[in-house]
Amino acid sequence: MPKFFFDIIDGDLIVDDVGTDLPDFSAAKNQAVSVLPDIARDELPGGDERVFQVTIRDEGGKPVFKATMSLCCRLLD
Amino acid sequence: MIRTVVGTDLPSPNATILRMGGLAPLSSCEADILRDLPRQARIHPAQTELCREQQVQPPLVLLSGWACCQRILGDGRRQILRFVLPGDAIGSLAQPVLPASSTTVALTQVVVADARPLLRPSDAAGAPWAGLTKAIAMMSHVDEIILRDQVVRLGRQTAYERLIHLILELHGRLQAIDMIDGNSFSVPLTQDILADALGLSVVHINRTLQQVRRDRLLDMRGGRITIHQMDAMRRVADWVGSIAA
Repeated sequence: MPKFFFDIIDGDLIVDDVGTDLPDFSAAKNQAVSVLPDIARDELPGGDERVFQVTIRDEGGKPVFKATMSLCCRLLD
Repeated sequence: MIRTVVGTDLPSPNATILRMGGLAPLSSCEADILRDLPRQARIHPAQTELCREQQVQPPLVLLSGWACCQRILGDGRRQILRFVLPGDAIGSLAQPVLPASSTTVALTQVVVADARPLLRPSDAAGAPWAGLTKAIAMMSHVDEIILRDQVVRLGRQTAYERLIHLILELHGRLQAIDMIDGNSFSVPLTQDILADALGLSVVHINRTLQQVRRDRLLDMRGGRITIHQMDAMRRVADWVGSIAA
């Protein structure tokens, strides 16, 4: 199985130096998309503007996919 | 393939004696019953289903290796309910005639023994063994505490708290069977297994492992967990005490 690396930004950047073995790119993409709400659930509440981002790198270190999820809070008069 | 263990290859009963003896004081006759368990032992490879949910089968004792109780949903998603460690029962010793409450699968090669000798009466009048009876009742109680811990982990804790709480649980349980080496212990846990035990994705487990390493709480690599800051881990995970005894 190919290895994919998932660098995650949730305020801090956590560079993945371990990687995860997954069957194919489609599985890696599903993992990337599903991890964002999971991380957000743990990290919220924590400010009114939050951006969670995951970048997938392939085994050669080349970025191949990026997903972003953001939270915007605004007081209404 | 199932192999019956014979001759000089008999597996050690030590984990079972430590486990049951830690739950209740045992008489020397009761300890002898545990010592004889490996004579009826069988070896199964990893992935073997040792017990199936809703089926009635004689209970077993795990002598060595790791297993887990699990449920698999229709689309293949798996929830591991609890880990089964050496000295633990597979199926219920307290309710041996009821259908199994969950499916148990070997995570590594395992050695299991028929647990029915523990349930036989101590004399012709049919009196049960006092120490074993208490140990079996305690084992059910501890299993319930482990399950409650799992409910709280999955229901309310963050990924970071969940991972640390589970590692504290495993540390306590392995300590009770003398399988801790200083501040480290070996675990046959892959990221997939941790993900299915903690209700997280594999990528989330990977990230969380990197966070706990970065925070110098613990290290997990090469099938070995090393604990660096036990007190800090207990604080993070709201750890209330050892469930091992």
